[in-house]
Amino acid sequence: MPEKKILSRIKYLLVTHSLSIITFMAIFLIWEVLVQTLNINRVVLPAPSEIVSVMLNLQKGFYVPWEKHISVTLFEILAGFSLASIIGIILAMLIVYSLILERILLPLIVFIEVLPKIAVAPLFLIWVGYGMEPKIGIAFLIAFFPIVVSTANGLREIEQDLLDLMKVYGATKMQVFFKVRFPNAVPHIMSGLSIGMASAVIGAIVGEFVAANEGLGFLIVNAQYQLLTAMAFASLFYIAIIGLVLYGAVVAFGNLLKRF
Amino acid sequence: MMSHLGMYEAKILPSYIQLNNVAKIFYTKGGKVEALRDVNMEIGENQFVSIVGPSGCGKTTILKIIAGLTEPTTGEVYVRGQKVVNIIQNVGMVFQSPVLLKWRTVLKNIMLPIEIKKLSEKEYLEKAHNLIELTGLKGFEDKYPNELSGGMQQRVSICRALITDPDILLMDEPFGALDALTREQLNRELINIWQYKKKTVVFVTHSVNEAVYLSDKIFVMSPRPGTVIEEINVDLPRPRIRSDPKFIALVEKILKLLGVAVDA
Repeated sequence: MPEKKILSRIKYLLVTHSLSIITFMAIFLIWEVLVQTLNINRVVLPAPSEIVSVMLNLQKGFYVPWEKHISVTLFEILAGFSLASIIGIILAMLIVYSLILERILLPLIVFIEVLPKIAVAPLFLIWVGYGMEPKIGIAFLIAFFPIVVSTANGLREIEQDLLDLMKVYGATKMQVFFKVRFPNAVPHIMSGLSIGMASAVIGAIVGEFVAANEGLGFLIVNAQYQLLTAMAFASLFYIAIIGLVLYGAVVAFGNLLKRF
Repeated sequence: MMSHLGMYEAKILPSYIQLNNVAKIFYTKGGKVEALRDVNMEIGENQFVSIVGPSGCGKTTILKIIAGLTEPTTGEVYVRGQKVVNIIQNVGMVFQSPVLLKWRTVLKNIMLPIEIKKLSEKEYLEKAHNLIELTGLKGFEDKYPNELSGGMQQRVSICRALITDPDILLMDEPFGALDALTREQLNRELINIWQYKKKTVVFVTHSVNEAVYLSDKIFVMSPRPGTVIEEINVDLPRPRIRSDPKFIALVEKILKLLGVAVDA
C-alpha cells in the first residue's frame, strides 16, 4: 500500500510541475520567436537566449562575475531575514504576553511599517555607510513586520477551553507556551516567515538600488546606465531564482516541522 | 481522601460537590450581566448528574465555578468537603469541541496531562492503551486528530480526561456537535465507562433526552439569570430504554418545565 501511495504522489508532483515547466517554456518560446521575427531592438527587449547566455557568461568578450554579486545579495537577504525572524518572533511574544509592551511597541512597529522603506534607505547610508549593512537593515525593516504580525496572531489564536484544560492540569506558563501556544502558532509563524523572506529579497535589492558597488541590484542600475538590457534581465532572473529557492526553503522547512 | 476509607464509606456521601447560593455577575462593556442567581446544588459521590437549560443560562459557568476556573460573585462551592478557592485537583474536563492538539497523535494527546503533571509516562502508557481499547480507538493510536471523525475525536478527549483517573468528570455539552447516531452510541459508551470506573460526573447538555438517559439526577435551569428551578431524581433502571413510557413521561415533564411544548 505505501509504495502505491508514494508512486501516485510522484505522479501527482510530475503532473503539476510539468504543467508549470511547460507554461514557462511556452512563454520563453513565444518571447524568443517574437523577438526574432519582429526584429525587436535588443536594447529594448533581448531574446531569452541572449539573457541566458549572459547569465551563463557564454557571450564572447562579455563577462559578469555573477558569483560575487549573487553571494553579496544572498548574504544581505539572509542576514536581514535572520535578524527579522529572531527579533520579529521575540517582539511578537512580548506583545502577546504584556499589555503594556503591546501599547508601547505596536504603534512603533506600525509606524515603521508605514514608512516607505526606499525613502529610509538614504538615511541608512548616512548612518552605516555604503557596505552591506544598510542593505541588511532595509531587508530587516521590510521583513520583520509580517513576521511580528503573523506570530502574534498565531500565539493569540488559542481556544479558551484549551487554556482552561491546561489550568486544570496545573500547567505552568512555560508548559502552556511550549506545549500549546508555540506549536499552535507554527503555521502562522511559517506563513509570516515566507512573506518575510520574499520581503527581505525586495529590501536587499532596494538597498542596492540606492547606493552600492556590488550585488544584483547594483548590476541592474549599472546595466541601465550602460543600456545593457540583457544584463539587467539576467540579474532579474537570478533575483527571481534566489527568491524562489529561499521561499521554497522556508515552505519546505514548515512542512518538515509539521511532522514533528 | 476522606471518601476511600472503607466499605461503608464507599456509599454515596450527601454532597461531594455542593453549591451554596452561588451567583455570578459578569461585568462587560455593555454593562453587567447576571449569569447565575442563587444556585444551590448537591451532588453525591459517584453520582451522574446533568444540568439542562436554555442557551445562555450559565450551565458552562457552573462547571467552571466547580472546577475553580471562575470565581462565583457570591456564594460558596465545596468539593470533597473543602471550599473551592483555587483550581481543584484530580478533575477531568471534556468540552463541546474536542480541543485536541492537532500536531500530536491520538496517543500523545491522551498522554498530555501525564506530561504536564510530570508523572511516569511508562506507568500511564498501559492505562492509555486500556482506555483506547475501552473507547474503541484501537488501531488509531498513531493517527492525527484531523484523520479522525468528530465522534472519534471526542472519544480521544474523553480518554484524555480519564487518563489521570480523576474522581470528578466535568462535561460541557460533549456530544452537542455530533450527529444523532454517534451521540447515541457515545451516550451508551459513557454510561459503560461510568459504571465501570465509578466517578462523579457533572454533565451539561441541551438535550433533555440525553440527560434522562444518562443521569441519576437532573438540575433543570431557568433562562438567565440561571437558577435551578427543579431537581429531578431519575430512578429508572439501567440500561435505560428511550422508548419506555416512563422515560418519555420524564422527558416530557422536563420539557414542560423548560417551557417547551412536547416534541422530543
